[in-house]
Amino acid sequence: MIQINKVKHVFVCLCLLGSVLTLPQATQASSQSTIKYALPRLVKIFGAGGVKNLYGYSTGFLVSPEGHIATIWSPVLDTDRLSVVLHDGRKFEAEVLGAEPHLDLAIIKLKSERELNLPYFDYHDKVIAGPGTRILGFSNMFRVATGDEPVSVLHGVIEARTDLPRRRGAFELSYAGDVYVVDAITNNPGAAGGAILTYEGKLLGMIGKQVRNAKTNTWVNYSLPIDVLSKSIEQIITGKFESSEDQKKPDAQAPERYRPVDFGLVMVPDVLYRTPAFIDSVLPDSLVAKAGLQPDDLVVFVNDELIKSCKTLRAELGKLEAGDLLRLVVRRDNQLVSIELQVPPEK
Amino acid sequence: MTHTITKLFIMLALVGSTHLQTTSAQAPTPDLESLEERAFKQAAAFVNPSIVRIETVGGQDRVGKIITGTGPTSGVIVSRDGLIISSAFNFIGKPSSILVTLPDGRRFPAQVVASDHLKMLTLLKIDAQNLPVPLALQENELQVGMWSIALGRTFDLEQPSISVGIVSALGRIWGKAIQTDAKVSPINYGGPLVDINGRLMGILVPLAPGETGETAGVEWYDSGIGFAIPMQDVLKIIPRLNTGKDLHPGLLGITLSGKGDLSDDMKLDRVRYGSPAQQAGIKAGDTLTSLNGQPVAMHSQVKQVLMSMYADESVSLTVAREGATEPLTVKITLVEKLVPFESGFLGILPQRESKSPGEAGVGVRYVFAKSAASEAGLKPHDRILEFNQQKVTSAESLALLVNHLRPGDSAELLLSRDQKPLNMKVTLQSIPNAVEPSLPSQAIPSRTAQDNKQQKIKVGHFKDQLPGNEQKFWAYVPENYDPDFEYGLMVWIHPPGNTMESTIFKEWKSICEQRGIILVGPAAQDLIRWNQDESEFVKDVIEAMQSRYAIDTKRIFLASHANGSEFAFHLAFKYRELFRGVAVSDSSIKDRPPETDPDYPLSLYFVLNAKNPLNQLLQPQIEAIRKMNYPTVFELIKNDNQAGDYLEKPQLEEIGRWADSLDRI
Repeated sequence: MIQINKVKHVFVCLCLLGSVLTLPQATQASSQSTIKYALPRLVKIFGAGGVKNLYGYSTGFLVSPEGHIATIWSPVLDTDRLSVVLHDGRKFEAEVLGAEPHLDLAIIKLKSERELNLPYFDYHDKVIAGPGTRILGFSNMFRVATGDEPVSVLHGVIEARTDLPRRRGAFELSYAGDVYVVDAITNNPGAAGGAILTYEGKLLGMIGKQVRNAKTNTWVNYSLPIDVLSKSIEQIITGKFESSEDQKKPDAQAPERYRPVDFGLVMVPDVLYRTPAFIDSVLPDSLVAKAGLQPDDLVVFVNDELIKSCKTLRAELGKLEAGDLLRLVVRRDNQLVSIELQVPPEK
Repeated sequence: MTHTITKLFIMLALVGSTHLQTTSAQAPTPDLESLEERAFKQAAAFVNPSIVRIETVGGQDRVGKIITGTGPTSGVIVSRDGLIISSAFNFIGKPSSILVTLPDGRRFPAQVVASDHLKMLTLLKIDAQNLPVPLALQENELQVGMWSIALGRTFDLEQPSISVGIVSALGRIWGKAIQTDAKVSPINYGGPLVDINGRLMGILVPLAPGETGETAGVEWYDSGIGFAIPMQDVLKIIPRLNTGKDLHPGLLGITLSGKGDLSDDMKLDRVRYGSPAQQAGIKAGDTLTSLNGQPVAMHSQVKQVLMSMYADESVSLTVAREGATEPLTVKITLVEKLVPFESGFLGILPQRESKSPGEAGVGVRYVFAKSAASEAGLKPHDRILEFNQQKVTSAESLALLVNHLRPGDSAELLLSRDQKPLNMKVTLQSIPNAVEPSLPSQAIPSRTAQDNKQQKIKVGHFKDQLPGNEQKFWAYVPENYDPDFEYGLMVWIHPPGNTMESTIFKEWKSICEQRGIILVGPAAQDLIRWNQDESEFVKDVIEAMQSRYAIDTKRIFLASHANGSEFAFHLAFKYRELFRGVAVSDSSIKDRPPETDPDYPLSLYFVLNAKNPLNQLLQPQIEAIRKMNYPTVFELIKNDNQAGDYLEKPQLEEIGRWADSLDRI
């Protein structure tokens, strides 16, 4: 066990080391200077909506001096009269330049006859941060900022960078990659399209929509990482955009190439909402029989995916392809038993 | 020291420059904010090896209104040989299998060792050795305002999820928990709350001040009001949980007068019969003055002490008693469950004798079929002289002895049969939930109305008022009333809007004469509703009747119909010493009855038209009341009458027999 004193010692050393490595300009940056830096770069967007759960407003952030704005792809943008209000109250008409629905990203551009020279975020700087990193969240949440007021600022830390298991249905999101989950309540009505920054002033990501986490059944505050968005922002601005959606295969039904019985597994009848995946019997001379599985074993993992029920077992086995390595972990009495086998050719 | 310098430095930097990219310091000094940020990460990294991921298989998908999450949850290692503590919330779905994954990726099946139902923790065991046990903060090191970091292992196996806040309060939820504004949710329930050095402050759990139960407090997730059970408290209970026995909140069995946590009425309203408090000699009416030597003057102070105690723990209670000069202090061991008391039943009706002194003991008027008495061979006209070697002088004294025994207890009787002594052994049974199909009425020498008139005793159907009170009541006293014998009293609580006086009088007259019952019907001041304040008036009417007529206190009962029942039950539960029965038709019961008490036996009678939609509501209520050990008759009638119609003769006669056996022993 580590002594506390030692930890402190190490801790101080790390701090010193950290400060040497960080850029001097960042060293000076504090939350207050970051807020001063960021607020002029955030905009309030007003467009379509205003009924029921559709809010007619959202947030965006400037990504070029000419008035390119990154924001959330939402019904708010679905109008001919899209207006954008800067932090100082200047109001512009805007047009949608392009969108990447797969990332929930849209780029809009301010309409202006004069050349604009606006402050902006450098989205090329693909900063990545880990859990515990302090963040500031900037957004037009609940539309509390009107006219020449800057948007609202929240503070918190990154809870995790993780792939977000979404709840299908009311909140259809196509994005399936990593997100930042933060411990500030950033995802409010109108907040989507806002930005999260480190205390040092680095742009980390774009605040997402309001969604529930399907695994924990709680609302989750997430942002799309800038390192994921960066390429698409650039492509839309430069006009070389190819939506990944076009290349994406249609979201087909989950494949059902294999069934438990193809491996020699006969499962207990699936009668409950979550019937635990107990093996009822093992076909003689089958693959799993040779590997040593027995009746009453509980299948708990298929290739590191937790098997919560007979349904998830069928889904996981269905995904396999001939020649794959199949690793099954079963619980037998109070022990975990692991077996490996090669997936046979499809029948 | 360093912090002050850093702060100064930042301020200078701000004064010197308004935007980001100026001033570069000669010797780079990290600012306080980034130092803190690194400390958060360090703290998480320090405790990281002790946070495990817990996954469950199977179990219910819904508990109450809550859809149980299917995602992983967190736990904290508390012993080198595989004990893991987690939040009980993580297992509410009663999963069929639990798996634990260590931060290094090793997986183990886990067993539930035991749960703590007070602090909502569950102890798990995995078969592993040399696990890293985290360092815990001492209780006196905890302070409000300290950084507190909530960690979980639901998202990522390599790194814990981190939420940062401060300690908002200590000793919350009646002394059980640390409060923090770090975000606490199913993402980190079961995980640790640590200080800035990564030392354990506590284990994150959902809790709510007003309620108990596994899902209480979940609706507060991510609200900035999160709770953790202090680690020192967790460590104290682990050896107890490790014996495999669940821990439960401890119960004392007292109820204070007054309502609300801020009430300073410290008088004990009730002391539950058979509870630890009652067994220690505490009585209703005592005033609670201190707990464990600490003076208490408000309900919240009492909760603060008692609501964080387990069953089997002891508390010292000091009460002041009226008439006693010295305060009384007793040490009481709390229990897990307060069992509702059930009185034993011998199975006889005592002879109702004239007030003039007669023979010794209690005469048997009637023996219930299949009762303890009939099985032992008791017969009408026997006289019970002794019960368990104690002389029986009246029906009251015999009832007191029997009521304080439980079904299954055995007792010895000394009888006199045909002038000869007879010893008998009986095993008491439960009071039946049915009415005897036939019951001979008690023979009372008949008097004529003329006799009563001579003695100026008012009999028959009359209306009356109490002196100095405008409010009216009506009564019916059987014409053959004999003041030498005691009568039952039926208190008719009319349904709102209709006194039903003529119906009740007409239907009940003959039953009253046959069964020796006087009828009294107080009228609500405002006919359309009973006001709860009017309970005093009803009580006054009953007392007035008691002073005018010979009334058997064991046979005073309330009768009502439809909506009037609510007020009838209100009366019965308010004046427990006054009423022995409640009979209602076409009604359910709104208030939960108080616990049974052998000193105030109360019998209930429900009759419902099968067409009445209340049927579905009433059935489970009857079950619950019977579980509380109230003798409860429930009759469902199927005839052509509409729901809401008043009862017909056979049903009324059954209520008459029920009322005539309220003095059963």
